[in-house]
Amino acid sequence: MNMEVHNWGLNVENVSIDNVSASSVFLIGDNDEISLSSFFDTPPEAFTISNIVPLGPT
Amino acid sequence: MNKRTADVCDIYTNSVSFSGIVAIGDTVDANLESRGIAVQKEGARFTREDEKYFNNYALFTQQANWIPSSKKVNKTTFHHDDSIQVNHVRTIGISSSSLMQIGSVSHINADARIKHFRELRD
Repeated sequence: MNMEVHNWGLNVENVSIDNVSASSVFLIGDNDEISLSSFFDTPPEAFTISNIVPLGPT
Repeated sequence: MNKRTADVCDIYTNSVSFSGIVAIGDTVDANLESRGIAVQKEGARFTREDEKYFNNYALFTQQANWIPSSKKVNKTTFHHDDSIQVNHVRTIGISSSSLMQIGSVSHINADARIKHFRELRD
């Protein structure tokens, strides 16, 4: 596959970000190849409870 | 890949922690990896037996299924304006193997694995 990229201007005025975390990428500019992988695990048995905690105000 | 010059006026970053990277300019290869265990415990008194170890959990040894980069893409880039103009960037935190890059980066390979625990008092 052939790909031709023509870049004219890249002007960023203002960016405000709280947090870039856990192998994340914040890029202003050029790139060829990005591959990101993430595993996230909150299994039910990791939630050791005895009584169900009511979420709403009681 | 011909490069552009990064012209940055102002960056404010409150904290760059746990091998975070703030880079202005060009990078060829970025390999990011972060592993985390997050324990949320009621009463929040942590003792020795609350410690958890990565090799006890399969999540951290599991094979990541990367996308096979099958087709070869030959990309030609023409920069008609040879600069990247950035006036103001404000971030609070770049943490756990993250990358903030202003400029070009050819290859990025990033892997994050987080296991959460919530332990409530019986």
